Amino acid sequence: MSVPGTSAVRREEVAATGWESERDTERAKVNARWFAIALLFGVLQWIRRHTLVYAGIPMSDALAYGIAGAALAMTALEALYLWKPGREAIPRGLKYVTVFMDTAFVSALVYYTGFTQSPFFFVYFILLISNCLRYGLLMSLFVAAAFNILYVVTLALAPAGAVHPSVLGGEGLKILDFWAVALYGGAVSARLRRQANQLRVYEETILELRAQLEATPAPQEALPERNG
Amino acid sequence: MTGRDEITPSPPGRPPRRIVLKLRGRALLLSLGAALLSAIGLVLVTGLATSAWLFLIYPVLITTLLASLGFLALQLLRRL
Repeated sequence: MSVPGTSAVRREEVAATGWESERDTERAKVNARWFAIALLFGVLQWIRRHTLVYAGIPMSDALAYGIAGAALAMTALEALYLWKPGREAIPRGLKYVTVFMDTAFVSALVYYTGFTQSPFFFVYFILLISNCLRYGLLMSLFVAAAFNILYVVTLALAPAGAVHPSVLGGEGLKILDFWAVALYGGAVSARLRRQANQLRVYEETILELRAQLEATPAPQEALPERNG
Repeated sequence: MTGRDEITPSPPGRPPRRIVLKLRGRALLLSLGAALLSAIGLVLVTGLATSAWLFLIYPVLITTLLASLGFLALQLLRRL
C-alpha cells in the first residue's frame, strides 16, 4: 500500500535524475542478497545431505555455516552502511567491491562442491546478468574479469586429479562463453541505457516547453485588451 | 595511396601527409597482427592448456583482440 502522493514525488525524482541513484540500486541488491543467501544455503545443505563428498574435499558443518555466516555478515554490514540516516550518496567504487565479494563467495562454493562439476557455477551467470543490466558494459567487463581470475584460481588450487574438464575443449570454453555473454549483455545494456537517457532528455524538454507555455499569456486573454 | 593524396598539401602546423599515411598504415598493420595473434592465442590456450593457470591470460588476449578489432572497425568506418 502506497502513501498518497509518494509515487508522484518518486516519479519527479526519477524524472530529475533519469536513473535511480547507486545507493538505491545497492539497497535493492542487498534486499535480493538476503533471499539469495537463504536459497543458496538451502541448496548447499540439500547437496551435502544427498551427494557423496565432492572431489575428496569434504565440507564440514562448521565450514558451511561459516561461509553462510560470512555472507550474512557482509550483507548486514553493507545494509548498515546503506541505510544509515542521512546517507544520500555512496562512493562509486563500492559497487565493484561488493560485486567482487559476491564473486569470491560463489568461487568458495564452487571450490567445495566439485570444481568443474559444481552446480553453483551457474550462479556466476546470475551475478553477471543482474549487475550488467544495472550498471552497463564496464561492470559486465569487470564481472567477467573477476570471474576469470577467481574461477581459474579455484581450479588451480584443486588437489591433483580432482579437476575433470566438464565440456569438450576443456574449461577454456566455459570461460570464453562467460566472456561472450558478458560482452553481449553489456552491449545490450549500454543500448538500453542510451535509450533511457534519450527518453529522459525528451521528458525534460517537454517539461521546459510546458513551463514556457504556462508562463506566456494565452492569445484569447490578450485579444479583448487589443479590441478595447 | 592515391595520386591525389600525394599531391594534396598538408594543412599548416600539421605533419606532412605522406608521413601521416605511412604511420596510419603501420598502425593498421600492427592492429591486424595483434588481432590475428590474440585470436590464435585464444584458440591455442583453449585447446592445449594443460594447467588452469594458463587461463589467466584470457583477459589480456580478449582485451587485445577487442581493442585491435575496434581500431580496425573505426578506421574502416572513416573510409566509408
